[in-house]
Amino acid sequence: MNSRARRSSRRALLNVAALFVIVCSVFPVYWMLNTSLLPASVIKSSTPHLWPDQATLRNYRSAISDEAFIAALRN
Amino acid sequence: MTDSATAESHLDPARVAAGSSPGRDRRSRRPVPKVPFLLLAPAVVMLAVFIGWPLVQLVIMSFQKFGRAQIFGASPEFIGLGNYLDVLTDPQFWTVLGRSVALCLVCVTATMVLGVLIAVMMKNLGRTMRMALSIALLLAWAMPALTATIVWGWIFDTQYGLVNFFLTKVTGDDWTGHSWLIDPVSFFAVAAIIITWGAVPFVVFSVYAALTQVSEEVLEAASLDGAGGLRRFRYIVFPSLRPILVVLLILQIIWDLRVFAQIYALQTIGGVRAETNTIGVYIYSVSMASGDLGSGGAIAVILVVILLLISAYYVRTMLTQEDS
Repeated sequence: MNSRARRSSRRALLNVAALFVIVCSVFPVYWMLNTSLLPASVIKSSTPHLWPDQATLRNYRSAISDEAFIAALRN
Repeated sequence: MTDSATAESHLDPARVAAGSSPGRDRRSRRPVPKVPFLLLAPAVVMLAVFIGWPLVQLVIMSFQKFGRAQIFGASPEFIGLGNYLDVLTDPQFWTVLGRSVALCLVCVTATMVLGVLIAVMMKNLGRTMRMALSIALLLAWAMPALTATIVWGWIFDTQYGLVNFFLTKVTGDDWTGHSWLIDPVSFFAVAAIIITWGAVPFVVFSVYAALTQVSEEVLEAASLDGAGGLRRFRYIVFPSLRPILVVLLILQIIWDLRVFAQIYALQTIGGVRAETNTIGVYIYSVSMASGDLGSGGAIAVILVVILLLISAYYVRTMLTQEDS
């Protein structure tokens, strides 16, 4: 009983550590997505927005309609 | 590769003519197969053209006075070791080299330690968690160095960065406007975080793959004999990991010593170039920005020699370890 409890607590600790690594590893990727969805005024506000609560696809629209981007993609 | 091929094909007819007794030398009875070399030829030619030729050009250029005038067609003049003397007597070169080595040491140590730890952890995780961890690491690994650096640049941004925001919140002091990149030490701390973040997934995947090859029976026998987790790792897991660790170590040292994109992009975001150059960026700035391709070539050749020496040393230690 005691050893099982110890094993399960070890497992929990391991999972917490794994979660920490996952967060560290993914965060910049997430942050890139988050920033890409926010309008410039929100990005440059004094409090950072941790999730895209004012999400807009405007950045993507402007990127797709940008001649230089299309040319680079074609290349 | 081609040398040994021609050498053997020269040797063989001679042996046959000398009439060495059949059966004593297996090779003399069979003609040297030509097909493998034929199949190898395209790859060797490609390697020679695309890797060998630029390298030869680089070495030639490093012995020439090759500046802006030569780029526009003036014929270069051979100055022997002039470029090397200039570079080696330039104190800036030694500062840059020392800086690169220090950064490389920190990054490689952090990458290897974290990589092995995470790989061992991954081995002990449940299936779902392991899957999630692999995906997370894969995402980090798939991110191009330049993109990653820009995003990390946002995170450490002077005015709108997350780090400053949370430091202000947690410590109560006002961190807004604190620049992480203006001071060389914190610049390199940020650079080391970015480089390590990008390099760890590769080490984790390689070491994890190697860990799955460690024989379960031997581990079980050891634990029956009373070896604890640490001793099992030290005496069974680690020795079987060693070859892959050596290869990873060499690759990491090479990659981190010649790192370019991360440093260059961070400098563009807000570092002081002169105080934060590493050798890769320094080669670029000497040969492209100042247009002195000769000196740049000399530095590049020196870097190649350093990298070769490191690799040779580790390959040799690995070989002797395997012999003993």
